[in-house]
Amino acid sequence: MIGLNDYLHPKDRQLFGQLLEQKAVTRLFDWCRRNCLDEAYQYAYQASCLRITEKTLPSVYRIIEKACREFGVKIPKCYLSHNYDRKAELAGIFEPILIFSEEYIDRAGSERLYGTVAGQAAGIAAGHYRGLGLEWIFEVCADLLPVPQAGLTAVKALLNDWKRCRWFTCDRAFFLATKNYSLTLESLFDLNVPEEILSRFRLGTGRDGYQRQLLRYKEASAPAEIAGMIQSLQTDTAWIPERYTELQAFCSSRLEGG
Amino acid sequence: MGRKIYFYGLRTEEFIHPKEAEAKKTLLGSKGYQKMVAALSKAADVYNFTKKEGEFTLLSRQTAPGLFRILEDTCRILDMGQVPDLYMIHSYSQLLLPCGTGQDCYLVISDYISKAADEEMLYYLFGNAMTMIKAGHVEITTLTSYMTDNIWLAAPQLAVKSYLHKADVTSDRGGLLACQSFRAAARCHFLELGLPAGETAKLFHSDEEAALYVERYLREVRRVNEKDPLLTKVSEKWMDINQIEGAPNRMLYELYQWYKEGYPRLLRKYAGADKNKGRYRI
Repeated sequence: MIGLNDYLHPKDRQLFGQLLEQKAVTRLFDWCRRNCLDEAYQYAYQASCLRITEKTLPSVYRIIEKACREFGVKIPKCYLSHNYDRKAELAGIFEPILIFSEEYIDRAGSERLYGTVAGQAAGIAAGHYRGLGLEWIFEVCADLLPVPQAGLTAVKALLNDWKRCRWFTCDRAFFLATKNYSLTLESLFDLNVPEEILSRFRLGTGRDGYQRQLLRYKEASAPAEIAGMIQSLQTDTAWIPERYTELQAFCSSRLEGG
Repeated sequence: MGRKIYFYGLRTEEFIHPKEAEAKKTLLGSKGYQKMVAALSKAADVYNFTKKEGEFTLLSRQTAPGLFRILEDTCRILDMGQVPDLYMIHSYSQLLLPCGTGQDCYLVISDYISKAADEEMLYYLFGNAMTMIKAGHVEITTLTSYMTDNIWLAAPQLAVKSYLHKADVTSDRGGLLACQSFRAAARCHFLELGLPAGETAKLFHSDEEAALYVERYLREVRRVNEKDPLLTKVSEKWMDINQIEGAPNRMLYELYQWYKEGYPRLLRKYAGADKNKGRYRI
């Protein structure tokens, strides 16, 4: 079994801890519990999506079983959703749910899918679904929240920052589960770029086709860097070059350490 | 696909829509306005840098040889000096857009369109995008990212949108010059209207069949519009005010008219050009 400390990124741990310590967050979770929001949330998926079980989608269920066993977590309820913009996503407030894009399942291949599920299983072990549940609460229940909007602004900024860093943890878990360096790097792009183009990038090799863009990102001008920081406050997008760099460092240390 | 004509020495003035030329004069008449457009475009460039390099994926001849072959050929056909950078994003849209300013223009293509469009359609789409660069539309298009609902900015924003609607007509003409297939151009327009590329491939097999199909479609549009001319006029005005892109049926109408008249004239003029003369840099 792969332990939490093997893959939990320090920034993920730090920011998530800070997030959960916020008084506003504690009040929000209590409010959710009192108003049975988790049950409502779970019911919405149950009523509108196909649940993945050993009977409905056995091949995918076996992959989920294996990944959860590897990371020592209970198999969550898993659902299929029609969504072009996602691969697999964690959700839920007190109980995790995993939602898969049917389009991604169709094209991923079993090894890539296993790595993606492993990343989310790691997220379950790290409690990510609670942070993601907060985002849902902000979006859906904005007018009903028992906390003043001003109090939520700082929480939202912290949430965005944490959401970016949580991918560092998921990416590490992908690598530990698959032990495939190139495939792990490819997973950062497999939503953006079709397979026939992605394979030509030769990621992680001496002819890595991403290096040019990575260098451009790192050599941003000062105004562009400042603009980037402003954008990062307003969005939860996990910038690919940062994930790439983190992953390279983690994989190198693992490969060197044997 | 047949052998293509290369339009060496092609100038935008040879195929620009006359109303675009007028609108450009009105919009960009003052040097002050030109400087403002340039400054705002540059600022948008800086602001979007992180998104471009952090979220989009930069392609190359090594990673996307098929796309680059078409892009480079399109640049040669339209006699463009430089092949821009090409980025890919994940999007379920018919997206192939130029962005940036001046020498730093780049193209953004959606993964969806790279798979949905076949080669001749990609020639059209790349031609459309490259014409936006050649004709200087890109900087003005960047202004749309600053648009708001502020009532005090309604009039200037309307002038920009009006210009862009006409500029789109010119870009479509450039797309047709690049692909030299009215069938491909029509299929791209119908894809935008919701007709899958796989279906249009079966519906018409030649430029002539595409022209017939488009004529039938435009007749149907006219028939519907004539039922209530006042409502049609109001709807068109509403779309012009609110949408950055021109109404799809009008765009197709404009392209079809030019396909019948201006396009054959340009083909005849350049058909004898020596294919080996070129100013493109790769």
